[in-house]
Amino acid sequence: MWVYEKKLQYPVRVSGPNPQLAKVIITQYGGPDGEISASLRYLTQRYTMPLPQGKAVLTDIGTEELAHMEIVAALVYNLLENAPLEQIKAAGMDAYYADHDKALYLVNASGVPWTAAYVQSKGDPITDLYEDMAAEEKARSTYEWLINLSDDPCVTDVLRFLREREVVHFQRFGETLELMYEYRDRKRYY
Amino acid sequence: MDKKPYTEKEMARAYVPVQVYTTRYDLMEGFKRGTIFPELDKPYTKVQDDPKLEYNWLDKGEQDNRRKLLRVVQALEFTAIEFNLYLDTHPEDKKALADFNTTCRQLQTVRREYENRYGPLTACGSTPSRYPWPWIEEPWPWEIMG
Ligand SMILES: [Fe+2]
Repeated sequence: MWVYEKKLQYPVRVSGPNPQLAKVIITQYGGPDGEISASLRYLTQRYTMPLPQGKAVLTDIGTEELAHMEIVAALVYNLLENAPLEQIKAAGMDAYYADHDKALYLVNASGVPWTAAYVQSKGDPITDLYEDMAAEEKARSTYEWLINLSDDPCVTDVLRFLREREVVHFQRFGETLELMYEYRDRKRYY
Repeated sequence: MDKKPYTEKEMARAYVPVQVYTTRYDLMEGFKRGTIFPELDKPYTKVQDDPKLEYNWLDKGEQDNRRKLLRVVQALEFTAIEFNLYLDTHPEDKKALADFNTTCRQLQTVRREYENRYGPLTACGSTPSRYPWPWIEEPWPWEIMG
């Protein structure tokens, strides 16, 4: 089970309404390399992970990604909150507005809705760990492209924090991969 | 640590060196940087080189007491998560375990202080609730501009 904590993992602030930035940052909410994809990927893969350390890593990183999902949502929500319609139109967010007003919805930066096809659960724990390491790198790259696009230093600060978490997650999945190879070899020889 | 020479390495697989915990950043520094471990701190060069962008709001200093205390709760919990993930792949690291336990004790104290003053952080908390049910009180975490 999970327990909700009424606070963000890292504080979020925005300098003002910025639908242009909201439009691209939303990809880390409902995009292929976003936080929902990350969380659901790990939390789904853990059932066929044979290694105790691996079960813990997938559960704990999958849980942390939920906290990141909330941070990204808080960014998008606050960047849209007081945005005037003129600004929304100028940012090309009028199509989103037509379907969702300023509500949060699970889409990538081009408006494509989230799909389970973004994640894989292969049943081979080594294959799954390679997918997870690649996913962390893809998320890290996305945060770098978003930092390049950001014109709000408060937002950049949050993107920078989230990017560094992907570096740490990559390391933990990499260590799990080492343990997984040891585990596989032990099973093979004894 | 993976110190195997090239010839002993297996082909067609990736190797990631295993971290060995020795030092950590202090509480707020680790929180700001997004990791408590200096060897894992690999910032994006673009942000690293731009002093204007780094830790933008954190350096302004917190005005209101609720947020100030919340920062300490967040930083301690972040530190606990960092040790938690490290211990998942290093369950027998005694130094990391001891530092995790210290962090947990500090976190318990600060959390209790925060919840006594500003309301519960979880609905199914360890302490009984005051009247009326304070869980519904605003702001919620995403309501940061209010
Ligand atoms: Fe991640």
